[in-house]
Amino acid sequence: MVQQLSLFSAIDDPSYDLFISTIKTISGNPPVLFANVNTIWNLNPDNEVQQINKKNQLVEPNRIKLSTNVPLDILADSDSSDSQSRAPRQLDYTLMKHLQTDALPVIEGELKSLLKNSGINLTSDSDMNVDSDVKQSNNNNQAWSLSMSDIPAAGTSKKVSIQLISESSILFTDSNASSLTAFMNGLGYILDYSYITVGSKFFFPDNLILDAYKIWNFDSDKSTQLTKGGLLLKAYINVSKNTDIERINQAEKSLLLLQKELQGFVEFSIPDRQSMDSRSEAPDII
Amino acid sequence: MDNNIMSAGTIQENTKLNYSGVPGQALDAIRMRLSQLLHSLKRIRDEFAKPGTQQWYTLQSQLNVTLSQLMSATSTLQHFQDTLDTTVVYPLPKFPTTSHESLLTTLLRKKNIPEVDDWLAMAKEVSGLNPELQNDEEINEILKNDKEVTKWVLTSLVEEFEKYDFKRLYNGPGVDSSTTPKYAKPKQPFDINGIMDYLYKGKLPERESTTPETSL
Repeated sequence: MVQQLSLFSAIDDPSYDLFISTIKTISGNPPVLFANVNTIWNLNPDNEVQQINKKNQLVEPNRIKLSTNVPLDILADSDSSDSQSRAPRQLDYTLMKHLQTDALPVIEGELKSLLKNSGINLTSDSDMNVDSDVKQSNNNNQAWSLSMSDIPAAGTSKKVSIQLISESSILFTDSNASSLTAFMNGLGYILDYSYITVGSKFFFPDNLILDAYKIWNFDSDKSTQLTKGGLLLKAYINVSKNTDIERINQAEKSLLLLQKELQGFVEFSIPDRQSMDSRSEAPDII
Repeated sequence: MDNNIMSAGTIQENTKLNYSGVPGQALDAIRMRLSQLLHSLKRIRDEFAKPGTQQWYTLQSQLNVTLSQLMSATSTLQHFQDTLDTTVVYPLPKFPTTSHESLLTTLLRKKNIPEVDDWLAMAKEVSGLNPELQNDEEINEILKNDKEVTKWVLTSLVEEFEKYDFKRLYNGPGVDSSTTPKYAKPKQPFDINGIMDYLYKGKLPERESTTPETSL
């Protein structure tokens, strides 16, 4: 369980170069390219879950995020038209400049087999039967991280967004047939939607991390880039103990310092906490 | 000071005094500079006399002021050197010799006071010059060299200082103008809250799709 303090902003594509050189100077560290695939799971509406104490908000069904890293060698250049051999020009932060279209930034076949190896099949619809044709390959066990997040803390005087996140890692779900879908179905969850994030990561002192990334939504047949024309910026610090007030204050100070330093160039702000609420809306069962 | 220094004209008390020979302009200018210098030296002394340590920047700024005043006093003295060297000072008969005796003796003193003699001796020792072993020409040569070195040091100091002036944009060699993009404030390409709605709830922004992907 971590307490995540964060600030968000966005820049347009033409500012990316200046942004990178600015942050490189401020942080003293080079950017690190990262790519993640994220799957969001929601409660299976077929399960007749009793909404115990729903009114008093004692039990709140929450979405679960499962994410893993995409191997950088399956990243693709979405600008080039040839869908088969879209090897990126350079595997570093400059790649982001060539990812401005809706096309997925990865080789789709490779992505699908990566998901398939973990027991996620995108081609059938969400309540698919996992036991059928999904071929398991256990020698390629991808570690996934499972996380659930609370709605960010309320209060108008907040200077940064503070959100409680519970995380865990999944290495295997079953020794013989590792399947995330079966595992999640067992928990009463089904796949809701999936997206890919590709971007640059900067490490600052005080465990401050600044991510500049793009987001692509994808399902079986089409993909859209949600961050068309720019990149989402997320500056965050994770504090492992939510009772560690001193560390939290220090983290807030670090974030505000970065916000002040970049003022006039990038304006960091707190998003609407309602938007960052991952609780599943009461499915009207029964 | 200059009021007490009378020169030229007749010694006769009843004849009209002729002040045309008094270098009034020079003396007045020097008096101004010296009184300024005296004032700031007094201030520094008072600062030190106060209990507790002073802030370094106030001391430094006062020292700077004093140094620049010393510089201007020196240059004024140098400027009027010829006039002052040729001026002979003597008291007029009506000068109140008994009441202002000490002032008169100080003003009419030909020899340097002991402190000044000490300063001169120290300066000679520090300079490393020995008038007994070196002739005038050699000494002049050394002094000239010294002046040149001082001048070089001052100019190179200014040059070096300019290299570390970070207030201006540096476009010298080594900075590839193609990698430093022109400054333009980034525009907001999308609504962050809309992105958050997607990341946490799966709600696609409206411009993309009207039906949210949530299958519930």
